[in-house]
Amino acid sequence: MILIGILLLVLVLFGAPLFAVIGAGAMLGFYVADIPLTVMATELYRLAEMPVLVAIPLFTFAGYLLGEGNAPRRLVRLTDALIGWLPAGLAIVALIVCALFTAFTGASGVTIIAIGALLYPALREAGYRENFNLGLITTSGSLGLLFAPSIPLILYGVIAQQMDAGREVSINAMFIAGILPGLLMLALLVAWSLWENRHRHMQAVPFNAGELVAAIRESAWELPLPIVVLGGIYSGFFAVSEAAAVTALYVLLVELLVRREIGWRRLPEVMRESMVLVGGILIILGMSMASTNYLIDAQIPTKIFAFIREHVDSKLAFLILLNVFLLGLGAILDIFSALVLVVPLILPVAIGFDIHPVHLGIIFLANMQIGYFTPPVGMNLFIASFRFDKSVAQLYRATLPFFFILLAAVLIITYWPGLSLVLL
Amino acid sequence: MRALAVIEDGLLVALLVLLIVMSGGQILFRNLFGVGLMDLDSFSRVLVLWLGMLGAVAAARHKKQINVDVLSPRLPKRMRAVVGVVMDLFTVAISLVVAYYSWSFLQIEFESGATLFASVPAWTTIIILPLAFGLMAFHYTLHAIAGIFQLRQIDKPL
Repeated sequence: MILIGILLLVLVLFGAPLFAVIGAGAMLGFYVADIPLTVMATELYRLAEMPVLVAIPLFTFAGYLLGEGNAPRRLVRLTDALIGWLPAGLAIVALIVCALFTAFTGASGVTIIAIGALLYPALREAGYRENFNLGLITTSGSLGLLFAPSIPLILYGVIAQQMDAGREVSINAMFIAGILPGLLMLALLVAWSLWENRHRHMQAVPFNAGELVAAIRESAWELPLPIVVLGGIYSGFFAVSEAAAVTALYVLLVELLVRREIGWRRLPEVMRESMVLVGGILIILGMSMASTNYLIDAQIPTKIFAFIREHVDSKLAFLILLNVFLLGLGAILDIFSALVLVVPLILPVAIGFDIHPVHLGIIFLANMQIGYFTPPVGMNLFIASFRFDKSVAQLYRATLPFFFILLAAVLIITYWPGLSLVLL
Repeated sequence: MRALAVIEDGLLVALLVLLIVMSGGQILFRNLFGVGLMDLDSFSRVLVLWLGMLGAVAAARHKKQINVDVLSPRLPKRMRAVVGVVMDLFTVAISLVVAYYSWSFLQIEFESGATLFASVPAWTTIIILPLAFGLMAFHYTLHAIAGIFQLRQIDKPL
C-alpha cells in the first residue's frame, strides 16, 4: 500500500496529469476492495448532480472574456482617478485592482497578464523601485482569492458539502468568511507600500474631479457588474449559480454588442481557453470524488486523525503543523489540485480538533495564496518571469518581503478564528 | 485530425453558449413569471458535465491538463523525453480503463431504462464519459508518438 503511494507520488512529480494519477489510485483501491470499477463512472457522473458547479464554467468564462478586452485598462483608470492622489497611490491602485480582478477571474494567472502588463510600466514610470514593482505585481496576482466570487472559494464549499462536514458549509458562508481575512491581507500590503516608499518623493498627482467623472463614464458598462454580483450574492437575492449566469450573459452581451472589443472570430478561442481550465478542474474533481469515496471507505481520515492525535494534543499545535504542511503543499501543488486532494483528508481531522470547517477553508486558501509565489514552483513566479522578461531568481528576491507580510497575515487568520467567522 | 479538433471545439463552444443563454433565460423566467423550470435545472447540470469533459479533452489535446512536473525539467534532455513518453502512455492506459468502465455503466443505465428529465433517457447523458475518456486516450497516444519521434531526433548523430 505504501509502495503504491510512493509510486503514485513519483508519477505526479514526473509530470503525469493529476487526473490520471488520482484515477489510478482510486481504481487500485476499489480493485483491492473488490468493488466493481463502474463506480468510477458513477462518481464522475456526480459532476452532473451538483447545482453549484454551474457557477464554475460561467464565472471562468466571464473572467477570461473580461481579461481579453479593455476592461482591465478602464478599471485601472477608474481606480487611479479615485485614489491615485494618495501617497504611494499607484501602488495602492495596483493592489486594489488586482484583488478585484482576481476575485472575478479566479486567480488563474490572468491577473498578471491582463493587469500587471498595464501597471508594471506605469509603476516604473512613476519612480517605484524595480524589485518593489515586480514583487507587488507578482504577489497581487493571487490577491483577492478570498473575495467572492473566486472559484477556489466555491470549490472548497463544494468539496466540504460532499464530505458532510457536520456543520453546513454553504458557498455563501465561504464568501462572507473571506471578506475580513482578505481585507487584512490588502491592508497589510497597503501599509507596506506606504512604508517602503516613505522616503521617495514621487510626483504627487492631485485629485482631479473631471478625470474621475470621465473615468466613471468610460466604465459605465462594467460598473454595474461588481455591484449586481456582489450585492446580489451577499444580500441573498441571487444564488451563486444565478449570479454566475447573470455575469456571463451580461459580459458576453456587453463585450460583443456594446464594446465590440472582441471579434466574433476571437470569441470561440476565448471560450475554448476558459473551458480548458474548467475541464482541467472538473476532471480532477470528478476523479477525486472517487478517490475520496475510497479513502472514507477505508477509514483513512480516521486513521490519520488517530495518528496525529497520538503526537499532537492541542489545537494550537495542530494549527502550527497545518500551516507548515499547507505552505509546503502550496509550493508544489496548484490550488485546485491541492483542494480536491487534501481537503477530504484534513477536513475530518480538523473537525476532530474542533476547527470550524469554514475557518479551515479560509486557512487553506490563505496558505495556498502564498503558494502561488513560493519557490520552487509557484505558478505566478513563472508567469511574471515570462511576462516581464526577468529571471525567476530575481522574482524570488523581489517577492520575499511580500512573502513575509502575507505570512504574517496567514498566521493572524489561522490563530484568530473570529476574523473569519464573526460575520457569519 | 483538424476535423476532429473542429468538431470537439465546435461542440464545446455550442454547449457553452447554450449554457449561458439558458441559465440567463431561466433567471428571467423565474423573476418575470415566477416559475422555475425544474427540467432546465437538471439539463444545465448535465451541460456542466459535458462542458467539463469536453474541456478536459481540449486540455488533453493541447497537453494542458493540470500537472505538477517539478522533477522532469531537471533531467537530461534524452531522459526527459523518455519520461514524457512513459507518462503519456500511463495516461492513455488510465483513460482507456475509465472509458471501458464508463461504457459498462452506460450499458447498465441503458438496460435499466431510467429517465432523467422530460423523458430523456439517462443513458444519453452518460455517452460523454466513455467518449471523452476515449478521446483523451487518443490524444495522449498522439503525444506519445510525437514524443517517440522526438526521441529519435535526439538520438540521431549530428
